Amino acid sequence: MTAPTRESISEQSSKAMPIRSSYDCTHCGLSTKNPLFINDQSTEIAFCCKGCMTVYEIIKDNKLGEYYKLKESEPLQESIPVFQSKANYKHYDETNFKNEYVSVSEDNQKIKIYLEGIHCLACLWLIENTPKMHPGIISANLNFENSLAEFTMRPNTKISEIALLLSKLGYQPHPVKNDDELQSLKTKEERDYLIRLGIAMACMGNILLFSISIYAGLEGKLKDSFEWLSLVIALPVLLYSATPFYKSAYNSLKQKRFNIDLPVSLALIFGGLGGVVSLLTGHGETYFDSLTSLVFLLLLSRYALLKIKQHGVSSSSLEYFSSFGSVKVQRENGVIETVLAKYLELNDTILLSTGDMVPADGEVLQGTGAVNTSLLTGESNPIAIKEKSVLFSGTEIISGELSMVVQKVGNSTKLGQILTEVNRTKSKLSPISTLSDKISRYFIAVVLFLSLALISYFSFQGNFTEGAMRALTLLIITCPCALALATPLALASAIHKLSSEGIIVKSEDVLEKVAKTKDIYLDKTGTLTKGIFQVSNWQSTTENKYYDIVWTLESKAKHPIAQSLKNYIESKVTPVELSVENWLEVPGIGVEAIIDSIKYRIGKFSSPDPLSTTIALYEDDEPVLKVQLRDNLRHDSIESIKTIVEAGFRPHLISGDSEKNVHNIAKVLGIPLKHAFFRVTPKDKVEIVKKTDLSIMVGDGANDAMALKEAEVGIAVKGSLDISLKAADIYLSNMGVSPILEIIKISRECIQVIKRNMIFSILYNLVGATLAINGYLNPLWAAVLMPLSSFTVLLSTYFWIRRKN
Amino acid sequence: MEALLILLPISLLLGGTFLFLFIMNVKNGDFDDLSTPAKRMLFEDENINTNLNKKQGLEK
Repeated sequence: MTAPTRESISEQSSKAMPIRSSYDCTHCGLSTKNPLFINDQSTEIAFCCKGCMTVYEIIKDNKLGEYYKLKESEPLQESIPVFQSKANYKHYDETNFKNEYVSVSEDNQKIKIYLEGIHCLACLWLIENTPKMHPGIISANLNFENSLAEFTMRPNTKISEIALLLSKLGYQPHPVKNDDELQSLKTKEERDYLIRLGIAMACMGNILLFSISIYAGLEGKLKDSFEWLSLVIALPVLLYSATPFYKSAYNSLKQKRFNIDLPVSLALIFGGLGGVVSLLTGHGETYFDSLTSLVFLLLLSRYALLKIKQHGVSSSSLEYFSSFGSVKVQRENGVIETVLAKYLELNDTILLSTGDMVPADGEVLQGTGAVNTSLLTGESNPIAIKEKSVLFSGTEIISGELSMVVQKVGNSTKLGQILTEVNRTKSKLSPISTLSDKISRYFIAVVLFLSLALISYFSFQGNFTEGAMRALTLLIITCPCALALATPLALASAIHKLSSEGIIVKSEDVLEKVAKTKDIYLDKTGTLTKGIFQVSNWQSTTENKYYDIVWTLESKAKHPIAQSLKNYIESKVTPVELSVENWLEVPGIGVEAIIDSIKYRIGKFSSPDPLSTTIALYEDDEPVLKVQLRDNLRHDSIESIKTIVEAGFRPHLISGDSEKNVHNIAKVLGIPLKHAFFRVTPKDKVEIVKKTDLSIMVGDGANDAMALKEAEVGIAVKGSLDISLKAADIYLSNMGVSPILEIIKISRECIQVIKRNMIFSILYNLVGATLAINGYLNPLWAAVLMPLSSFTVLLSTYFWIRRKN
Repeated sequence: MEALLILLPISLLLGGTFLFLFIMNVKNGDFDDLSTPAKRMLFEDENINTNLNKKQGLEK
């Protein structure tokens, strides 16, 4: 039997469900074949999942139906089904947490929260209406551009309740550290920039008014006074607005390099001094109009760049994603406390139950259960644990309740060691230094040389003023601002575009690298597959679905599959617990009990498909229900791999899982077996990735972290561990691997735009320089023409952004 | 031409005043978030109250 593909799975489930072909989820709009319904005034309202249904109910209960009206007005926005987290956020109420994240004043407390999943007008509306849903919230203020919401709450309001409300609404809350100083420093910098720009514009405008009359032929005393006035008005521009140029030029000189602010600064300083000298001596030109225009236009184009960069999720927001779990600690006197995981100490006894992440390495004291170690090792099969078993931090308890004694914390845990390794690996130096940077540097050297040559040539002929003017014109017109703007602008736009698709890029140079790579290494468990065993087929021989019976039998069971079965049932119906007699769990065999005087047993059923596990429900030893469980491929994996191959990439599978599992998945995905690596340790992954010069690594777990760091480009998928997020360059905040295609497409386009921009600005500068050297231009024309090239670059990039959105 | 002696200072004063107002507005934070208020404006009127509360809440 071949492994079933997505089509066959959905076919099976649609066979099991009634009836109409497909429904659109009322909350998120996703089309689904297996809807859930609630009845509202005898009409049935369809949802794709429980998460969306919960959000709908909260919104209706609070009479906030306006939300759906707003949503309709923005049909273009896509949303995704709501994922309901099981977290209870209790640790947000701890003093430690509050000190770091909450600012408390006498009559209120404030917290900033980064909300994952803000995507449209209706989200904004919903968040700002949270004061109606929770009496503790005084006000909520969301900044749509960076998804940061500030909540002002009454004193004693529990932060955990706010976080729970937000997560119920479908926005994952990531509290932002209460870093007032840094925050205000950032804001101040931005505001200063705007003020610089405003002053430059106001002064330029006034000076140009005077210049017009001078150019029109004003003579005599009035001309002199106008020129003196221009000088006075130009001073704030030259001494305040232009300071960033001087600073950056000075810094580059200190590092013995030329940067584009150097010619600008030289033009400003010498142009300004020259103007003052002309005024004092009474003959010669003043250039205050040209200089102020230059400063204003340069500041303007850089401000535009700054604004584009800020748009959407900025790379810095990745910091907010680090999670911090809490854990229950049992003290010697029997008291149970909830503590933030990072404050755990050696020999603490901690209590873990289903769904918990193990926060430290240690040994099980009591209890049994199963853990999913896929994030740490890549192994997809759950591992059973009992007393004395060793647990590692970064693994997840998928069933059972147990207590554990902490033996290693922090950096000495297995996870901590990998983290140290990741941090020690030197951050990659970009081998492809941006081309435009290089060109600009040579360009500036040539221009500086030419200016000097012009001055000395004309001084030699006894006409210093002419030489100085031509040199100034040359300095201004060849300022390679367009060249310098071209690359960062296109990159920032690409990052903006990607972030609107839920792809968060840490550093810009990554895009250039993506466009050049050929090999993609993909982790299997958790990346291409979901990493958890899920019910793929529920096949009953009769009409009865046996949901309640299975749920009752499994509700107390501890074996790994029990949780998967329960999750599946709970997503379908609200199960009813039946009364049971003689309930018995036989480890390795199954569970059995007597319900309504019929003996039921759940146990293994031999399965021909090596990839999946099949279990059966026996009614009086007669199999009446077969359930197949497998670690499913993500819905987009097959198509994504196909498209990746079509785009000219070589996909490789790289997994810590067994040969059988890896090869089977490779076959389904159409990856050649020689490109499928199995039973790979984290270190081997690094070696394999290193062998290829330019490679992309896609992964999620701790076992991928080092490879993510080592690869040219590391991409962490949704659900990744913190450590992988730290190591990766790109984070996909939407499920699945198909965003990789978007990254490839946009990077390639971006490189095209950069090339186009660079060719244009080089041409422009060559023509301008020729004209300036031959004396066809004066500094004012140069000052007007030069920024025009920057604007052409801005426009060319802008059209690219618009075209795709 | 004597008119210039009066008009020039007036024009400079006017320009200076608006520049000063602009700088005050920037320092007040009116330009910090340029996109959200534009969207907020589209909501129905009942929200005006919440938004007013918000301002007061922030000022405290």
